[in-house]
Amino acid sequence: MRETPHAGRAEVRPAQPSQRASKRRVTARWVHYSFVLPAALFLLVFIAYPVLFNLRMSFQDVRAANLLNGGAAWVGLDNYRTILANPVFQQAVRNTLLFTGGSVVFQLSLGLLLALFYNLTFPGSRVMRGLYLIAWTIPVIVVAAIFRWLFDGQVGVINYWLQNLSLIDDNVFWFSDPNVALGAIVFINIWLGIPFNMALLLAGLQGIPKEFYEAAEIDGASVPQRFAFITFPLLRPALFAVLLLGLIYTFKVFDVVWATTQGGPFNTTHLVATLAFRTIFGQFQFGTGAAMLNLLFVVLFAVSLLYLWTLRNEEVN
Amino acid sequence: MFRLLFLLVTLWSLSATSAQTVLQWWDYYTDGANNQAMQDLIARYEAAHPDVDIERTSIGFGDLKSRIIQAAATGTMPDIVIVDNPDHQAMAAQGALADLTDYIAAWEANDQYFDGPWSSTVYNGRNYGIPYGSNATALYYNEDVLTEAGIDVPETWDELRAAAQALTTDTRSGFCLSMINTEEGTFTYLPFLWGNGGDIPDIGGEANIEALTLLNTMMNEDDSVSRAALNWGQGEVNNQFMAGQCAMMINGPWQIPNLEAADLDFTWRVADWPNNGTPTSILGGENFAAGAGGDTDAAWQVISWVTAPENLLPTLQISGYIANRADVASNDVFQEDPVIATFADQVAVAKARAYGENYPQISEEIMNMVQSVMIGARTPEQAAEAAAATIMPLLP
Repeated sequence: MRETPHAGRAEVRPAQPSQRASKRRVTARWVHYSFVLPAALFLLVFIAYPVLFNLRMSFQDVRAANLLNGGAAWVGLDNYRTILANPVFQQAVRNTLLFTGGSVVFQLSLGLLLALFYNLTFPGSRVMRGLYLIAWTIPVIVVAAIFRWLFDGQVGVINYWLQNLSLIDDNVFWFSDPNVALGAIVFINIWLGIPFNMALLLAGLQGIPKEFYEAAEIDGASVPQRFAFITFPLLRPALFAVLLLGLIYTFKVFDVVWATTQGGPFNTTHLVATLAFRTIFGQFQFGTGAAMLNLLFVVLFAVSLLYLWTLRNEEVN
Repeated sequence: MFRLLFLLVTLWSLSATSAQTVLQWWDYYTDGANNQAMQDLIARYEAAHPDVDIERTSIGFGDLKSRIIQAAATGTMPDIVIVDNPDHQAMAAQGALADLTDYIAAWEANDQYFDGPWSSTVYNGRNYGIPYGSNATALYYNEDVLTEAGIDVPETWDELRAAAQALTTDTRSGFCLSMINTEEGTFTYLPFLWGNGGDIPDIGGEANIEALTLLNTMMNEDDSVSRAALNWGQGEVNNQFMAGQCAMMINGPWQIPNLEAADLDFTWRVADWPNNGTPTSILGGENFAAGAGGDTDAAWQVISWVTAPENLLPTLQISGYIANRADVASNDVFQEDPVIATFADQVAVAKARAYGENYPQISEEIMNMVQSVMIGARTPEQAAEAAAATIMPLLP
């Protein structure tokens, strides 16, 4: 707060200091907004415009022949009605929910268990922690290719070991059998997601002061009690963040499915993202594909708003 | 001083104008014999035309279609593009390719091409490209295994089924083929339909039902075709064959370099497609096209040069493709090697996938039909009926 040089004469000239003060406030606000401007422009051009363009395309009958000519007819909600009535899309929605739910539940719980384990200090803990992160840096396509070989019905190692351990009798054709194909893909996705979950939860765990645990030990709390009354409540913000981020990311996964089954056999492993890709780039039906992606976008937008709302709550706290 | 500057500027601008025309060339030959063939072809063209520089970009097979859509939408199509023959009409319909009708009308070689490959370059009565080379699929077999079991090379469906059954053991499938839910699967299935006298316009009919029944029986009753085939592309089928896991396979001549490089310890040979009355195979191969909005004149210069017999023949020899123009196909080169000769004979009876601009959707419906039967979700009759309902409206 600056003192006006003529503060002593405030009674003689009352208007001037407030005028100068209001000029300072207006200038400051303009400067604040100008810092946000580059990011806002970027969002407008690269996110808002494509999203709105996609929204408009979903209400038109855009196909290969009229994509460039611009002569696409306006069909209103027909594209949406078509996809919602299409059993392949309905299955894709079911698959997406199963895939997301199954992946996130196990990624989070296994990630939490590993984080709790690596929160203890023992010789080699840091090195082993680091190895998980290396696994996370392997490109998804490479992981999918390796797992395709591991899961191969004829010559895959997984079948070999399951038979050796007498858990199965015959070869299971993981990617050709609609009953197990989605499960195999979820397994791969869980493998892919554990390191990320573990790293974030470990960071959250290390933010809990050790004094709480020492105090609890002195008071005679057992290990499960310490987890329930200290660890879990203090870890809740991190858990919730990882859960929501995991949901948002997994809901739109494309690469794992595309690199393993491409949605087959007979469309039984399609997720909404892969089905939309096949519709747009394989069949050149742009309007229908846009409708699918808009529905996906609406769901993700709602979850993201939920995430932002929880952040606001935390800042208030 | 001023005059020196003027002279320098003039010399610099002259050198700029006599600099090369740069043409963009896209194809999907990322590796193998075709990649080599293209590199060699472009090198020969640039040696013969020093004022032209061709910048070649090789994009993966699965991505080229989407790249072309993006390029067409943004007006950045390459000057020359090599297109898979079943996609050619769909791309012409999209407006991605330049109309070459006038150039071709004035071209002296415009009557040399075989009907099948030529039909894929024509859309709505206009020409949008020139065929490059063709190939077809055929039956590869492990001769050692067949001789050991005392089995002759199958020529009919009954013989195929019997041979596959007899050759199946715990560690080996009698017959391997690609039944994945992409174009590779359709590419493998269609000759079964055609070999029974059927075609896509009557996909709901008996010919198709019998073809589906044959494959269903071999996979689910005889166990002579592995269920993993539903997830195999042609490359994976070849890997299984090379590893001795398959006695017979359906594949194309592009596997020959892989088979030769693997230096296998068994003898492999190639035979005609087993059929149920109609000798047939399926046409593979790509066409040259010019991108819409590119330098069409310069692109036509390149395309007409590379397809001239003396320039085309060495390229086909490197890539293992079969010629689809009469003046080149008559060359002895295509009959000397028994394997190439078999493929050349198959090309002669092969059908093209010229089903109009909705072919990509038709192809997907066909693989849905095949896979639904293989996993037991539908009977062959139900699948054929469902396919007819979705495919008939898509035909031109």
